[in-house]
Parts: sequence; C-alpha cells; structure tokens
Amino acid sequence: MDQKPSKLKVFLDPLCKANPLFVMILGTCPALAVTTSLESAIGMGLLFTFVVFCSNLIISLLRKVIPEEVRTPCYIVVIATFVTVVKLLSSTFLPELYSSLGVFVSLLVVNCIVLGRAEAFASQNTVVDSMLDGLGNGLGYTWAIAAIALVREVLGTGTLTFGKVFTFIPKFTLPILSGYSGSDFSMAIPLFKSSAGGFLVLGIALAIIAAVNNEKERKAKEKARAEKAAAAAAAKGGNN
Amino acid sequence: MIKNTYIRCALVLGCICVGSAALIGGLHYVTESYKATHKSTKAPAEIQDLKPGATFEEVTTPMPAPIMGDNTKVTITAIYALKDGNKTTGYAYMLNCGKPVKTELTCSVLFEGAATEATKNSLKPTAVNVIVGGDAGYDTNVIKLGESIVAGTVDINKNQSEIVMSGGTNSQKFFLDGVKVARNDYVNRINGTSGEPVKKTPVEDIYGESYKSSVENTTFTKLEATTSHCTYEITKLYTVTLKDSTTTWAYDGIINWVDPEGETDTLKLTAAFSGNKSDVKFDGYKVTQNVSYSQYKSWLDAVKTGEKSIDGDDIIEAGGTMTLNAVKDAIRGMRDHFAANYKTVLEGMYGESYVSESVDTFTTLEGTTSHCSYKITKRYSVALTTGSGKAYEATVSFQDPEDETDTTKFIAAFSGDASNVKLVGYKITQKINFEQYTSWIDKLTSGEKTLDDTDYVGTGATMSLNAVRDTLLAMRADYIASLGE
Repeated sequence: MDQKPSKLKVFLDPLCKANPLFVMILGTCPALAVTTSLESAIGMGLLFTFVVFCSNLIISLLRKVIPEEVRTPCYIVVIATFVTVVKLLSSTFLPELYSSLGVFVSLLVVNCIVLGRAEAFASQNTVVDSMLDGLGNGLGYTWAIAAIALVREVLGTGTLTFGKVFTFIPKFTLPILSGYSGSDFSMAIPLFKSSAGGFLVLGIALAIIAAVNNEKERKAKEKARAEKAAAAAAAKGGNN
Repeated sequence: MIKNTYIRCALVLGCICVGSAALIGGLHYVTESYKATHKSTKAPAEIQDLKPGATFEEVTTPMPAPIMGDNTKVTITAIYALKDGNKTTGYAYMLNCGKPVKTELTCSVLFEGAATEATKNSLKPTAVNVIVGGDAGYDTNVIKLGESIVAGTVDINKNQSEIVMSGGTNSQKFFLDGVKVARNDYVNRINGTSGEPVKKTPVEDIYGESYKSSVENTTFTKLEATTSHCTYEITKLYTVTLKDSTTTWAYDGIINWVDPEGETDTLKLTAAFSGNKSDVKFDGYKVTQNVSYSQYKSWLDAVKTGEKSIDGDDIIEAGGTMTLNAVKDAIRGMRDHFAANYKTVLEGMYGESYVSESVDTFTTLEGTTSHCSYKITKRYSVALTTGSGKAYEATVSFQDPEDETDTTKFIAAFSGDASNVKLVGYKITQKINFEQYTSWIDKLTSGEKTLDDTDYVGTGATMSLNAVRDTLLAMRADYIASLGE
C-alpha cells in the first residue's frame, strides 16, 4: 500500500529532487527566453508561482465538483483566469516587468508545469497539499531560472543590474566582469545574451545535474548491493 | 443519466467561466482606476532613471512640432518638469531621433538650472539615458558619447565630425541632434517657467522669424578705430544662417565718444549685414547699451529700409548729433569689413573670377525621373571676369532603402560654353543621411568625372546619387538653353 508523502516532502521535492526545470525538464521555453537578466527571471518565477499556487488551490477545491468529461477545459479556464489576473496586476504595478517578459506571461496558460500539476496533483489531493505542491513547484522553477539568468547576465554583460525591472528598488549595477561606468574594460561574452547562450547554459546545467544524479544512483545501488551481500553473508554465517 | 451528465458538465464549466469573468472584470476595473489615478503623476523609468528619487511631473501642454536637426528630424515625445517643491528646477525630455539604422534611436535627457540664449552653448545635460533597440552593441558609442557629454569631456557645440567616435557614427550624430533640440527647447521653457521674458540674442531679435542659427566666428580679430567723432571697437563677428539658407554676418560693436558735458559715453550695439561686396545691405541693429540720446535710431531705421544711405551726410535734427556721428562711423566700419571679407555662396564657388550675382526671373522647373522628383526653384546669373555663369537652387525628393521619402536641397553653379559645361561648385543646404554622393560631386567639380559618365554608381548611396545626378542634368540642360537667351 502506497504511503502518503508528508507535507514537507510535498513542498520540498519540487524545489530539489523533482525540480520542474532541472529534473523534469519542463517549462524550458520561458526558461530560455526570459533568462537574459536576473530580475526578469525572478519576476517571471514569482508570476509563475502565483499562477501555479492559485490554480492548484482552486482546482483542488473544485476537484469533487468538476466532472471527469470537462476537467481539461475547466483547468484551462481556471489557469487562464489567473494568468489574466497576473497580466493585469503586472501591467499595472510593474509595467517594466510586464514589458520585459512580453508574450511569455500570456503563454503561462499553456505552460506544461501548471497544467501538469493541476492534472497530476491538485485534482487528486487535498487543498493544503495542492497549495504546498504549487508553492514548491513555483519556487523550484523560480530558483532554477534565476540561476540560469545569473550565469547568463554575468557572462553576457559582465554586470548585474538591479532596479531596471523592479523599479521600486534604486537602480544600480554591479560590475562583475567589467569595469565601472566609463571604463572600457569588459570580459563579457555577448553569446550568453543570445538564445544560443541560453541553450548552452541550460544544457550544461542539465548535464551537471544528470551527472550528480547518476553518481547518487550508482552509490545507492552500490550501498544496496553491499547491504544485500552483508545480509547474505550474515545469513550464511548463521546457518553455519 | 447521459443527459444529466451533460447538464452537470455545462453547469460546472459555466459557473467556472462566470466566476472567472467576475474576478477578471473586477480586477480590470481596479487596475484601470489605479492607472487613471497614477498616470499623470508617475514618470516612466526612462525619465526617473535620469535622477532617481526626484519628482517629475509631466508637462501636458502640446508637444513642439518635430524639428529638423543637422542630420535627422527630432521629435520630442514627452516633457517632464523636475520639481523641487512647487518650483521647477529643470526639464527632462523623451526624444525620438529617427532611424539611424533600421531601429529607432530614442533617448531621454535632463537639463537643470538657469539658462539663457547667451549661456545656451555652455549648457549641458546633467543626465542622459539612451534607449535603443537593435542588435547588442549597436548603441555602445551613443551611450559613451552621452556619458562624455554629461561628464563635460565632449562639447556638443563643436563640429559633429570632431565629436563622433568611429562606429555607429550616424547614431551618434542623430543623438547629438536630439540633445541640441532638447537644449533649445529647455532654454525657452525654463525662462518661460521662471516668469522671465524669453531672452533672445541680439541677432535673433534683428532677424526675427527668419532667424535659424548663428555661430561666433572665433577666428575674427577685434577691430579698433578712432575717427574724428569717436573710438569704436568691433568685438565679435557672427555668421548667421536664416531659415531660407541665406548666410549673413552680424557684428558686436562698442562705441565711445565724449559728450558735450565732457563725459565719455558708451553705446553698445549689434548690427547685421547681408548681400555681397558690391551691394551691402544693412539688415538691422539691436542696441544692447543705450545712451540718453536716441535720435540716431531713426537714422539706422531709415538706412535699414533703404530711405537713407550709410554713406549719406545727413543732417540730424537738433540733439544727438555726436551720437549719430559716432554710430555712423562704427556702422560704416562694420560695413567696410563686410564688403572686404564677406563672400557669398556663389563667390565661394566661382572664386577669383566672381564679379557679381543677380537673381533671374525664373519659373520653377519641376520634373520626375525614375529616381526622384525635383524642383529647381531659383536661378542666379553670375558675372565673371572670364564670362558668365548660372547657379541653381533645387529641392530633390527620393525613396530611400527603408522606403521613406528623403529630401535634400542644394545649390549648384555652372559655367562654360554649351560644348563644355563645367560644374563649378555646389553647396548642400539640407542634408540627408546618405552623404557618400558628395564624393562623386567633388569628382565632377574637379573634372575627374562628368555628368555623362555612367560608371558613377559606387557602393552605398546609389539612390541619392542618382537623384542628385538627375537634378544636375536638368540644371545643365537649362544652363545650355539659357546660353542662347
């Protein structure tokens, strides 16, 4: 009989072990498109978190009411509603973020992570679990695209700029691989600002994570084999 | 059972849709209300970035019409007043400087502090924010130029070719046009705001509506003279460009004489002249430091209208004779300098052989070719020591590679007989973005090429070159026809 996962596990798994981007390899399109700057990526991640959290909440609430036959249209309507809410809010209160994300805010309606969590989790679990799952997936996706954006912005521009998208904080630029304003010195590699650079960074990240996971799996197998051998040896000794 | 399922499905889906619509509708109302409330008070990031934390208020009066700079048409898309309490201490401008390449160049600039026409040239923006689309790196030099202007290491009053860096020169030139347009507006606006009358230069006052720009001739050496009536100094010379592209000269003068009470009186004025060495016209004057006797002004007014001659020995009505004589001497000194040194555009083209010029009675010649449409609007007859010549003013319009209509204006001068017509010189009075064709015209004037050569098409600017060539051919045809008149 399957044991129900703890609430902590429901929340933490998508952050790490079952990260939607790095492990499940979902939502790669916006992950490549909006990761040219760290601020845009964080903004996108937060909007995504809001949508997946709210849609999970509502779908879980309505899971016993929604008929099986129309579940997909219902999910889409719920998700589209929250995407529209996000669009209205961001275009009003954070217009710079809204314009920097462009069409990718609207495309959240058909984001496979949002729809996937609705179908695979929220429709079958309690409201609290669904909310935690939504929050975990949202934050997991946020840190993943923020990490890619951090690498791309630093390598692509040589700097980290804040306050350009989140205008409520003072604008400032950290010259990491370049000189201060007015200096010509820069070690920036413009390739990383382009789509090719996005693929490159994502590919390297996925390769590293795959390597780490493989190593973990190998060690786990070795450990299991060793335990099995030890158990067999112990059994043999007992028989003797 | 099946019917019940259908009804349930429709009902649930319908309810979800209604709930969604209600939520979105409500939120839409809230956000629109918020936008309406905050629209006029919040400056966009491009403006706010110019001075973080400062208060900007949008100026809601109609924006000035687009203004043609040296290279491009600049549109002021928005103006924000920089507020310090209720006081306006500066203005920020959002500018569209046209398309130096395929994408538009937009920028925002901030000017602060007091400024007048007299101090305009020393005014520089306190912050610049260049916002351009296009490929990465396209805006690098424009941004650098903006930073240098703000830092004061680059003077925008200098010739543009001396300022721009290699790489993206068009973008930099378009940007400079934008900054200058904003600066001109700022000077007028900040004076209007502070309640002071808009201060114009004396030269601007003299020419009024026909004035376009003026620049001080830095190579001019101060002239001093002593006559039987006064001592005077001609301190500055300005080259003035009028809206019809005419170039005139204006002088600043200081005149000193001893009045009947034995005190030295000083009068300062600016006087402007036009025409050519054989026919100098007194265009007007502006007194910048007056004396108690003002009768001399009626004489100056009469000279301006042509009622009296500069050289006439007019007897003045009672009073102010000394002043009049002193002013006369200074005005004559300025006139003599003009006659000795001023060269008309055509004189510059024809050089030593130039004697005089006159405007012909001429019907505008219009034509359309496969490359352009042109209007030859004016014709001059030029007397030369070696014979005669004709010069033409023309306006040419053609489609550029981005399918926009470009218009250039130029003057071209011809001489020679029907079998050997020479293009003596040219002057472009309205520039376009494609300047490569000028090297081809230079070859025509040097005789290296002729208008009939068909190997004229070089790399770049082919369209503008063809358009100008068609116009020159029409001018030449008229010149040949006029030889028989």
